Amino acid sequence: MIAIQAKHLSKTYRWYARRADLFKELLWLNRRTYHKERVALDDVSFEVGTGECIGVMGQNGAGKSTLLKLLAGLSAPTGGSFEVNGKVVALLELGTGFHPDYSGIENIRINGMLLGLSRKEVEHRLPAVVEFAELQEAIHQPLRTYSTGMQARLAFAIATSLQPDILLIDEVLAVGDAYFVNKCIQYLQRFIGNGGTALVVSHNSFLLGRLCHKILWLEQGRFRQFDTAQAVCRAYDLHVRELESARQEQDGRPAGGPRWGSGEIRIGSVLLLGREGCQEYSYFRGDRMVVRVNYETAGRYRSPSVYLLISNQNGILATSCFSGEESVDLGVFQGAGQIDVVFDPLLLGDGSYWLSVGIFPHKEGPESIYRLDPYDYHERACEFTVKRPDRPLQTVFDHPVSWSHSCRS
Amino acid sequence: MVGTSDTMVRSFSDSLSGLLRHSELIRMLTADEVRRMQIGSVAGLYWVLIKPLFLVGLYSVLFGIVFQARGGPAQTAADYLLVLLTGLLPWLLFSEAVSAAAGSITANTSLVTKIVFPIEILPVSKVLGTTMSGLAGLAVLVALLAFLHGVGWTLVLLPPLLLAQLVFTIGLAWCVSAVNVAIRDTNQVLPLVLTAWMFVSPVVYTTDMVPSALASVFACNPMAYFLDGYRMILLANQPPTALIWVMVTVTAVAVFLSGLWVLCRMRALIADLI
Repeated sequence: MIAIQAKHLSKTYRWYARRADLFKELLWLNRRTYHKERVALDDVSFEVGTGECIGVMGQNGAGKSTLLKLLAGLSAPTGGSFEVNGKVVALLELGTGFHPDYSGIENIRINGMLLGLSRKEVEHRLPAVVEFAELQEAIHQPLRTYSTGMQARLAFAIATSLQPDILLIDEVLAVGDAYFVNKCIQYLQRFIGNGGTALVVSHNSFLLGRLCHKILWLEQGRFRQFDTAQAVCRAYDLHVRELESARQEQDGRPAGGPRWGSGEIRIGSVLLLGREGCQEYSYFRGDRMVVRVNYETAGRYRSPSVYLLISNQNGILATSCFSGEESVDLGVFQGAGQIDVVFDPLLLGDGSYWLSVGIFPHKEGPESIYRLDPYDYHERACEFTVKRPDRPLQTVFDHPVSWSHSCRS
Repeated sequence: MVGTSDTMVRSFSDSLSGLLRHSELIRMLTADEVRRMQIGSVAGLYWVLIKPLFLVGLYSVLFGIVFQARGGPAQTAADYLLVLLTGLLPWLLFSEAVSAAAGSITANTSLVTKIVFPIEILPVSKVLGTTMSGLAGLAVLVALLAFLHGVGWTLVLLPPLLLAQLVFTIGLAWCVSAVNVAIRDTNQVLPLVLTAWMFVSPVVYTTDMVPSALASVFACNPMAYFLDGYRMILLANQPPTALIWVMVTVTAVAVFLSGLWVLCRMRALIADLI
């Protein structure tokens, strides 16, 4: 069964430079126009089956929110049509209509009714809402004493109590803490499992990949792709990276982040070499990867320490290695040379990563843990991606394990 | 339930019947409105008495003592005070409600843009909230009149007249609050219009004090009939004339329906403009 069907859906907003222009139009009974038009959504068609979870992805201004507004009935389309089968609940913002001076319980009552429940229904569902929000303690305190996370939980709990058939969610999962987001995801998975249909807007391709069956990718109001979550996520991430590097090239900046240090030893190129010894910037987990750091120096330095730091693009530190910490003596640095660091096998999970490189003076004893005086430190010196060889799954890293089984009978 | 692209443009009759369907919501919002007046306020609900008392004091000094205005040739200053009270309290009931309701849609942007919400309810609950508190002032007036010269059976005609005024006020509130979304100047213009309207209405004077040359012009003002009606019931202990009842009912229903019509016509525009 089809839950949502959109045919050539379009929305053009009228844009008035000044309110007086609108006034003039009203006076002329629309016989003259004084507005400019801004296309927010342009000829978008798609179909969502009952029990499906669809992600909607795209950059700012892609028309994601406009699409949800149209489907929710908050705004009228200017072209095309759509049909939804079932009760639609749109969560475009958490805490719409909340009053900070009222207690949690009063806000549930008011909000529930604002969202269309009757007084009886609200009373009936109240305990479940309080339980879902996990606010048993604070429910009689005024809302302004709540943390953002508590308010988000309360708002989401109220929305779930509406018992929708079709749930439209706009980026609201971005506000909560990890615990809240996980709870929402669990709710959504259960909701979809019970035959509900969901449309989730997010920038977070990781989240959508985890949650959705299929993803609709919009770009500047237009349909770009509607395919399985994995396919669209991959294409989208690639697209974002292309845009990013195109922007960097245009800005004329060298790839990579800031550099600092005394400059006594300079880091030259930082290369990643694959199994064949050729330069390679995308790897499968389990591959062999060699980081080759070239340096130049005018002096002669005994046993400097080399530091590598790998972070993923969400800023999470994936791993690091430091020759000083591992008491590795790299010998004397003189003229020009190269250091090879071998990762074999590479255990990082799916994703793209930045590699930062630093060369530090030799130190001994307790002071060796303070490293604020590099010869050269190059942040985000190069970038690479790692893919899982089999089923795509975005883990932080794939831990090697060993398996055993003993049958007792 | 099946929704389509047309759900947005709900029909006029749908909105009308929706008022009954949403009666629970209206009641809740009205109670909320009254409650919000008290939050963070020292005098809280007492303002509904303080405000008219202050204005009555001001006007009675100005018109009763400075201008020596009297309710008629043979009346005393005390009588004029009653004329003032019976004019000012119903007028405040009306004007306070309209000015409070004017911003009721613009002040609730998120309800309009973020959730599916019957916006026609916002002005209604604002008007009802102000009326609820304004009725307290009217109740004090009735008690005062009963104490001074007694009130007759005609008092039972007060609720229907108030109801008609409420219907009239809601209609105007719909229109003003909807237009205010598109043209925010409304909120600035409204106090001026209301002040002017007050002085061309028999609030600080009675209809028979109007020069006969202007009488036909003053008869075009629907509020004049309401105010005449209140004075007949409260001061003269007489039932309002048939003309008053007809005018009051017709204008109330006409303004109510056209206000809702304006709001319905502007609904799509409101959603995109706000």
